[in-house]
Amino acid sequence: MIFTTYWFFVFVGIVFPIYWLLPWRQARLAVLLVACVVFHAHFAGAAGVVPIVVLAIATYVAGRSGRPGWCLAAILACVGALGVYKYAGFLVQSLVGLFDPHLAAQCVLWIKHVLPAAPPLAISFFTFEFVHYLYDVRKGRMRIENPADFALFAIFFPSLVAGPIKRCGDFLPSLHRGVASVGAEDVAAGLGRVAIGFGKKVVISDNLAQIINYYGPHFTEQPLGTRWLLFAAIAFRILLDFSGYSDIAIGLARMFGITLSENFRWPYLAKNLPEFWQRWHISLSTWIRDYIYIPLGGSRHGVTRKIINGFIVFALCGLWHGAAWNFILWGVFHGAGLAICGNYRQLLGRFGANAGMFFDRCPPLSWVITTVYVWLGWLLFFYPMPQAWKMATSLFSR
Amino acid sequence: MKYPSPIAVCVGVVVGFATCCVLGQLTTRKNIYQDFARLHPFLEQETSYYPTASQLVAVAHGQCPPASHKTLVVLGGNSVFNGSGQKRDELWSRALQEDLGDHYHVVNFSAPGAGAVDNGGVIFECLAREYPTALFVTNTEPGYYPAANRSAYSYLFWDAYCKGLLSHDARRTARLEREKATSDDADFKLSRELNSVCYFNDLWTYVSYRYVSTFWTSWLRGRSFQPRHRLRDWYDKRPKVVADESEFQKMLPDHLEALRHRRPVAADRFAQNSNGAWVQTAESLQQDEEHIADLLPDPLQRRSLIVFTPYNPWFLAHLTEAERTRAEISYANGTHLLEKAGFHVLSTYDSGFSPSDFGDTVHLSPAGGRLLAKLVADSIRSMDTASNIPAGR
Amino acid sequence: MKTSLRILSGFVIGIALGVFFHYLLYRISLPSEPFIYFAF
Repeated sequence: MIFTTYWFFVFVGIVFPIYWLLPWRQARLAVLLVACVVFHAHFAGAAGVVPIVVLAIATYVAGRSGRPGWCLAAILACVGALGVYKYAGFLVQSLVGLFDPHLAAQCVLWIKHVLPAAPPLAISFFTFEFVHYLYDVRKGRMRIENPADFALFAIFFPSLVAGPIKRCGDFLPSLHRGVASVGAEDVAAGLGRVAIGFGKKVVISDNLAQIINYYGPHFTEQPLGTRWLLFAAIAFRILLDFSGYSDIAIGLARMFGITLSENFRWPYLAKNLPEFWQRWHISLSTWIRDYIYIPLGGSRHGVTRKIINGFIVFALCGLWHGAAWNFILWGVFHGAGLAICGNYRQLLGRFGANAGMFFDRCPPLSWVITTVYVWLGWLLFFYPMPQAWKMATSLFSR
Repeated sequence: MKYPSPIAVCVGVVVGFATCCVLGQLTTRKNIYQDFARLHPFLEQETSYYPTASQLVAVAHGQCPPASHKTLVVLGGNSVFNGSGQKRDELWSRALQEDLGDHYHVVNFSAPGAGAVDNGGVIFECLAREYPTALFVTNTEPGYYPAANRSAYSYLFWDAYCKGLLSHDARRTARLEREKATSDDADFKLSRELNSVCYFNDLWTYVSYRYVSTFWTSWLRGRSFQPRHRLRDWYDKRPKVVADESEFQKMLPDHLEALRHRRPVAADRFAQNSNGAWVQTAESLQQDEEHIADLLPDPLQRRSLIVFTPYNPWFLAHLTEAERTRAEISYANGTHLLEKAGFHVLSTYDSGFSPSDFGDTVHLSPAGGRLLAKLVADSIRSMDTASNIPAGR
Repeated sequence: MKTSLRILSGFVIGIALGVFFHYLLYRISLPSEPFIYFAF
């Protein structure tokens, strides 16, 4: 709800004019840093700020040292913190619950007593950005010396809460260009982008959400045409909500003169699943590729290993979205789709080659299959498995 | 042409925004709700429509200009006074207007679930200086006296408060400051403060009413995006209220259970003394007194009539004797406390309402509405002729 | 001529944006869904 609070509107109404009117680069950096701290403190509260500050300090110190061992330790600390705050209850419930449900329930109660009610704000995004930085430092690709630069990279408020996930190699040069030379063009373009984002979110997506919440429980009772319309509404609701938020983040950054990477590129135009993941939540999919898939070996060790790596990566991608089995199932669903999409031509011999040629010559059919497959995935994403199955099968029956 | 001039865009943003602020303020000066009879669901928050305090003040100005020298009667209260179940033409407040005659003008700002001084009470306070003879009539049940900033319609209170439409009351200001520390609605209050400068709620509510609505609601579904002025009173399309025993019998299990939990009836505000008689606890009496003191600033209580609306005797007969006793005690204590605070009170507990005057446990049928109108009209006339001094003082 | 067109179109776009932001202040006061991200 952060971008749709009045506090936020007043906040940007104060911060941006001060930033624009200051003619000195260092002053702008200071204003931006203070604004980011105020923003984070206001929305995260003490329970949310302290863990992030601890992780940030550990990441910065490990990065400054450049020692691979320290970087690895800091990576483990970040991932461990994410695991504990976000997944402890789920993991205990799922693993211990298999053997002793009563013990699992007791453990979950204890965890709820010990940990805050909600994980620290944006811990998923902090973890990803810190891990990326530490991994690259470990590989000798970069190192941030200036603590202010690191702080701004860590808590840059437009992308703090929900992305796009930044890469410091892109962000810092853009930051320094922005504070030096933000102009009317940046402000105008940024305002337009922010307006597009809010339009997608509050004008369209929220209305779709109301419709889905109303008709969704009676999905299978609707006429077939209405079921398909609701199916499309679910797909567009998530696209417009996610991409709207990214637009707002990118627009706000642009108003500071800072360019963030694009996060969505007309994903529902994709004609196959690999292409979908090059268009959907791009910052997440490239992060997963660079920091999980490739370190696991990627496609360098044969088809079987490639498929397994794909499943692991997408199961983790699903788990990252939320601590529940339906998210993991959604990830595995995409892993399976990518495994088929990326390998059927080789694995199915002549038939696979012919099928591949047919799809290449018939892009509309490829598009339809990809779109329906992705949209079916959203049913798994939003609904428990039995309900999702019922809804999916009802789309293909009277 | 590569792209529009960015400086012109920035200037345009400021001009566009400022123009909307001005237009918003201009919309508050005229009555946009033509032919207003009551706040039915399509005109209030159940369908995410939030008429502003300025707009409702303009309704009163439009229907009863100060120069008309009529006595303005502002109605507040909940769904009973809102005429839930009564179609627009059967509305009890119309019967009240007919009974009172041309020297009075009745305007009904009650709303479902509202507290005693919500909506109507807020608007009455806004108008009190301009209409020195105006009267406020509202309903509630004994023991339920939420201040206007503490209820489901608190948005209207804050809208009026932040716009400076309410009278200055040091006691209320001090109370709001104390409550600030423990409340979690800071962003909501900030929205009202911003609105008092930018008038965004006023402008876009007006646009929703006159031109197009932009919010889908399950109440309206396919008609969600129609301008609200095209939507008739919601109750007009509801089935006619059937006030008979067979209908009451169907409602009995759920409605009786709900009646048992109502404040005047439930046991949690009572104790039994050494003789076994039910008495209201000192704690609940003190709480009632404190809440009553927060209802309206001095001296508006003297121009206010609070009506304790009745329960359906058919359902009352199914209560236990203890429950009926507690209800009677609640009505008596509530009357006493309100009169002590300077309010006029009309308790209709034993005012001759029969089961056919009700559509359910509390909501009145058209016949019941007419009876209520007569009782309220008599009280209003006696308030007016007694120079607004209640009998108890 | 081209400059005037640039300025006029910019001004019109700006006014539209200003009106939209004013509408947005109203729209966010209505009940709305939280950003999907916050479910994660």
